[in-house]
Amino acid sequence: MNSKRMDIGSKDVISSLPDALICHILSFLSTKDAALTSVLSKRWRNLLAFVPILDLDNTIYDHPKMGRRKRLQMRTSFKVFVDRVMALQGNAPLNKFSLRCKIGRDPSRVNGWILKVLERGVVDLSLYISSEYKYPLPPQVLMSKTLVTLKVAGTDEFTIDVMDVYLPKLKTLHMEDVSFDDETGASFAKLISACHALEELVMTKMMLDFWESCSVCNPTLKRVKIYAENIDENPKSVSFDTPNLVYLEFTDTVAAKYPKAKFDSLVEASVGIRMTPDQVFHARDLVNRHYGYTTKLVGNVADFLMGISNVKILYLSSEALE
Amino acid sequence: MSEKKIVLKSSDGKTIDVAKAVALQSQTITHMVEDSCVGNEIPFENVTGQVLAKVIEYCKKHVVVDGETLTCKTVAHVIHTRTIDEIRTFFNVENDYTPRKKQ
Repeated sequence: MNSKRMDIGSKDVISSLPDALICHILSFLSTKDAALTSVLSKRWRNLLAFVPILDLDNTIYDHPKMGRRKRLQMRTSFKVFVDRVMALQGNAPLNKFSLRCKIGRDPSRVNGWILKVLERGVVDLSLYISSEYKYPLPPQVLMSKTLVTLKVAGTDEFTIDVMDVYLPKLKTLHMEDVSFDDETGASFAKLISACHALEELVMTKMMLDFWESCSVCNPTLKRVKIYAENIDENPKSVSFDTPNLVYLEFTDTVAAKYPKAKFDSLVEASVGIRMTPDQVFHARDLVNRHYGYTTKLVGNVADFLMGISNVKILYLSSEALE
Repeated sequence: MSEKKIVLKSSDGKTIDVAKAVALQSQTITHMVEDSCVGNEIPFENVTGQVLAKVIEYCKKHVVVDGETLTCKTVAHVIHTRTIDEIRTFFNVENDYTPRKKQ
C-alpha cells in the first residue's frame, strides 16, 4: 500500500489538495505572506480571494530609523497592497479583519477599508491604529449586526464617540489606550450598557482615573479585566453593576467612592487597589499621628470589598493590603 | 470552486457529503474508496455517524504531504519560513507561469 502511495508521488497529492484546504492553510499566515504564495503557480494566484481572514500589519515596516522618505514609501505601498487585496476579495463574507498601522492626517483610506469589511459582515475586528492626529473611530463600527469580537487600541488620539450603539452579537470588547470623546465617563457607561450580549470586557491603559465616574453596568458580563496604570490620580467614582460576573481582575488607585459594587456571581477576583504615593505618605505619617492629627482616609474601599465579599478565590496585591 | 464530492455512509445510516480530495486525506477512507466504492457512496459498516463526522473534521484541518500528515497550521509555518523556491520543492508545485516575453 505504501509503495502505491509513493508511486503516485507528491505531485498528485498537491494538485489534488482542494482549494478549501489551501485557503485554510493561508488563513494562518499574515496576508502579506499569503499574498506571496500567489507566485507559486497559476492555481495559487487567486486563492487569496477566498481566504476569509485578513491580517494586515504595517507597523513592523514603520521605524523612525528608516528615514522619512522610506517610511512614506512603505506606507504608500502598504495602502496600494491593501486596496488590491480588498478589490480581489470583493464582497465575499469576511470572518476576521486585523489592522495594525500608523496613519497620517487623512484617515479616509483606512476608514474605507473598515467600512467595507463591516459591509462584508466581519465577525472579529481588531484595530490597532497609531496616529499623531485625532482619529475618531468610524461610528459604523458600533452599529454592526455581525460583530462578535471588537478590539481597539492605539495612542490616545484614537477616540470613540458613542452615539448610536447597535451591537447585538458583541461578546468580547477589548480597549487599550483609546479615549472617549466625552471625558465624563458617560459615553463609556452607555457603550457598555448597550451591548446586550457582552461577556468579556478588557480595559488597559485607559484614562478612567480622570472621568467623573467609571460605571460598568451590564447584566451579561462574565469576565472583566481593568488595568489602569496611572499612579498619581484617584478616580472619583467607580461602580460595578454586574450580577453575572464570574471573574474580575481590577487594578487601579483607590476611588473616592464606590457607589455600587454588585457582584452576585463572582467566583474569582484579583484586586490591586492601591493608594497614590501621596496617600501612602500621609497614611504612614507617624509623626502627625503621634501628635493627634488624624489623617482623613481618601476613598472608602470597604464598599468595594463588601461587594466582592462572597467571592470564592481572592488575590490581593500587597499594595491593596496596605 | 466545484470539486468532486463523495458520500460517506455510517453504520447508523447517516450520510456525509464531502469533497473527494478532503476525504482522501484519510488513509482509511482512501482504502475504502479503492476497495468498495459503490457509485459515489462509500459504506462504513463499523463506524457511527458521530465518529465519521469527527474524522472528516480532522481531514479538513490536516494535509498529507510526502506521506506525512501535517496540520494546516504546521504547513502555514513551513510557508512562512521558506523561500518561494523551497516552498515549490516542498509541495512539488510546478511553476506554470510563462516567462514574460522580452520586448
